[in-house]
Amino acid sequence: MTLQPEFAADPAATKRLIQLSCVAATICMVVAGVVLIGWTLDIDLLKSWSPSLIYTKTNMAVSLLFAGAALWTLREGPRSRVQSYCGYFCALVVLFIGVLALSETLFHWNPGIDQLLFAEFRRSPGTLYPNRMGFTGAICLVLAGCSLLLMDVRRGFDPRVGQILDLLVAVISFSALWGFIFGYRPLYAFSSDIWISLPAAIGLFALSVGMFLARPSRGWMRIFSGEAPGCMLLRHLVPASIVIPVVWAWLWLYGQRVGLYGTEVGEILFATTMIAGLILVLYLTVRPLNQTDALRRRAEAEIRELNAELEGRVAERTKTLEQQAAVLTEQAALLDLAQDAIVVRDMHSRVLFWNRGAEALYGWLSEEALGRYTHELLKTEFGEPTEKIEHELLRQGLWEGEAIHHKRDGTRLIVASRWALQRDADGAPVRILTITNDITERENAEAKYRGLLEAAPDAMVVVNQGGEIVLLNLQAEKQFGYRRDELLGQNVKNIIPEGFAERLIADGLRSAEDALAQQIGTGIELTGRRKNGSDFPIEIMLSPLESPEGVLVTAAIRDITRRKNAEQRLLQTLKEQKRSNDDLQQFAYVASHDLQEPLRMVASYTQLLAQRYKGRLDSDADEFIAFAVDGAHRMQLLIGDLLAYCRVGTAAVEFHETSSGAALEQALSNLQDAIQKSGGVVTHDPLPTVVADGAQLVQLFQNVVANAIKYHSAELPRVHVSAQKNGGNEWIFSMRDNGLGIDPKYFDKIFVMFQRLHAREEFSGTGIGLTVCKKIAERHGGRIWVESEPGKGSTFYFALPERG
Amino acid sequence: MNIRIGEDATPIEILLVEDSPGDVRLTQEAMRDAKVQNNLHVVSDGLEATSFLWRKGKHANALRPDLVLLDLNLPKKGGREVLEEIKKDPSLKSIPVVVLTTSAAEVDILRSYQLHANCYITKPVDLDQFLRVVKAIDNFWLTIVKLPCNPK
Repeated sequence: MTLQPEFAADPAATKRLIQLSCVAATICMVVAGVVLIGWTLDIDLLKSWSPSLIYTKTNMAVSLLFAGAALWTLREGPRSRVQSYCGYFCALVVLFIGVLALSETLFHWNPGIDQLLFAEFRRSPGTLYPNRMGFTGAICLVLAGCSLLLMDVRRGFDPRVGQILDLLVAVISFSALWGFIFGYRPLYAFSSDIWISLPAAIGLFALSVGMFLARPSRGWMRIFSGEAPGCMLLRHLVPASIVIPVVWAWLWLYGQRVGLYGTEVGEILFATTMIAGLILVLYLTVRPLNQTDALRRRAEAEIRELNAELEGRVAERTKTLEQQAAVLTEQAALLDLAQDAIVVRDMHSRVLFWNRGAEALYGWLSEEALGRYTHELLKTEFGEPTEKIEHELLRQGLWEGEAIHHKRDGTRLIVASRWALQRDADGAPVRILTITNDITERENAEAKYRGLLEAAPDAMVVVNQGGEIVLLNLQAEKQFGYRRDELLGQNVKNIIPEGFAERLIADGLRSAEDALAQQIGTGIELTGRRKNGSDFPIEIMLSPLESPEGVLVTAAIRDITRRKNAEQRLLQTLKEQKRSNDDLQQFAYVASHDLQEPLRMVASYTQLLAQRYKGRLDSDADEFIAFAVDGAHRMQLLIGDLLAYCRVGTAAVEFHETSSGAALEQALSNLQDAIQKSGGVVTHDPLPTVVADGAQLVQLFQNVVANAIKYHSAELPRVHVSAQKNGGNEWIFSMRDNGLGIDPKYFDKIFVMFQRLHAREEFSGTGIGLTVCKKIAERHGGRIWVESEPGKGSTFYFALPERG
Repeated sequence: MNIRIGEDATPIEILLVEDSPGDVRLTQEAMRDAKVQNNLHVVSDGLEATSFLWRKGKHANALRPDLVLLDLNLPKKGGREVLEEIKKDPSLKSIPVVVLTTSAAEVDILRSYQLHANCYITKPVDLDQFLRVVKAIDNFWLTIVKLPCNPK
């Protein structure tokens, strides 16, 4: 198969060819119609159209009618599905009739279709059986029917197959026509019984030509419908080359037959007119060709002109660009000096310029980077969609933001990038200048601070001037039971209903700042509200935070539920303590009165008994009475000391400026008898004025000095009292004696109630005196302790906080 | 009339308001040795004390006392009330009232003086001291002090 040159179809020619196919279809149907009229009216001339009286058979006429209709319907162009089916039906009818007719001749049988419409009573010339079409006609109908049906077959089918069948029909019918025109019988009567009638030959030829024309863009017909000059030539010459020789030959033959000229003259005439006719045809054909060519040449000239202009402009532009490049190179040298990474890229992201800063930052040399795509080179990652960035850049000419870049060695960089778009004189974007700083360290530091914020043990909430929460940490989520996204943008009132927002927002910003200034570092106790609506006590620390969005307020919020509970418990304990104290006071009163009462009775009457009856009873009675008197006396002391102890604990302590010297003097005066009796000496240094309850201070001195006198050694008791300030804010009183001394293992024991180190026979006492001293010291916020060694005396110390 | 020190004088009338028989006895023991002749009338509760003072019921013929020894903690009517009533009555308020009680409580002392007690004495536990105190009262109020005339 040879390669077909591809022709662009000429729409006008195509349309014209299709119109001609309609004409052919019409001719076909008109021929059939005329023949059928002839059969109806029984007019021989209309049936045969020639003196030969070869009738066109009714079935052939009907077939031609259907074939014409099929051709009309199936011509190239838009048609409905119903139209298509009608066309196929008509073609099938033609094929069906053709096959039946062919089988009649081949198998010598008679299905009875010949006489169906019109009966032929006598056999016309060239007819085997009345009104039965000839063998050639039947073959032509089969071929034409097939060709019609194949016209629409497209897939996997060479359209030229159908066109070959068509061509056979054309050859058969045309040769028959040739025979009729030139009166040469063998061409239409192929044998004694295979004839073809003139109308059938005309109809079939018209049909065959029409079938070619109906598909101007298929198979061989493409060369006719093409736009190329050759195609046009063919369109003009082919009809001429068919029609002219036939007409000329017929005229020449006819002239010879009627005797207008002789053979020689005829031949000269034929040749001459043939030449003239051909020249005329060629002239008519070539003229439109020339016109087309002229048009083409004009168009070419215009194109050349445009090209030249374009080249001029390109040259001009190149020059401008070169100049710009020179300027750019100069500027680039300057940009090289910059510390920042400066990169210029075109609108396809190809690197046009790469300064030293970029070399230093990314590790790519300028010559390596030039021409590469930046996003490939740096594996850029943006925090926002690229379309958005591009949109902003095109709209504003600027973009500023953060991105992730990668160095040549793959190191990840967090960078701050500023982009500027350059536009040409027409406003079209040309290139993008980017200036980039490495902010990785800063970002990491920020991340660290964010981590710090998250790790803070308190809930941290940052609030703007409108009271909206703009930042918070994990603790805040936990404490208030919200998710982060639920809290962001919320008004702070939703989580701290009262106190906070009013303080900071209602008064306006300035007063809020004032309020802040006063509240820095102070804990404000408020109530927080969780998502589930439950309230809990919080403590808030506020601090202002200058930011680009104005003054923000950072609030550190601590859940103080536990502290509050502890406070509550403490209050409760204090209350209980107070009640217990009250009880104790009541007890002290009871002890002082109700217990004293019977005790006095016992003591008094045993004494009375002793006084009146001593020596009058027996010696046992005297001893028993002595024990009773002694017991009552000790009980009396015990109750007295207990009362003193209770009073220290319960009586309201009244702190006044008190001279400790005077207190000591008072104590000594109270102990005067005992001191004198023991022969002891009490000395003291100058003593300070302190803030204390005077009576209790006296009691303290008195108890300690009394002990020193009481537990004296073999020497005469000596007690020295002094006071000095220690490093802190305390007065330390020391009371040194030369008494028995105390074993260090008893240092703690001696301050415990009823703890005594000596048998009652050795030293009398209740074991309450030092306990009272300890209580007094504690009531004054001080403490009491002892330093001693057995046999070397003791020193009691009393620390008293300085007040004022 | 004047109080006479010594032999044939009209005996001094003393009202002891005391619920404890032991104390009554002790007081009587102490008074027995007193230099001044006296009649010790004893009532054991506050109600009876007022009956005696205002001569009611069985005390219709009671004598107006020259001195009242008053215990504070008494059945039926407290010593403080009795003290208050005495000191409110214009005819009785001139009688000296000695509060003689076991209590050494500051509150009692202060309250008693606010109600115009003439003196406040805590009963000493020790017998000797007790006896000494009663004698001292005797001595002070009946010998040293000049009392207003008893209009009986």
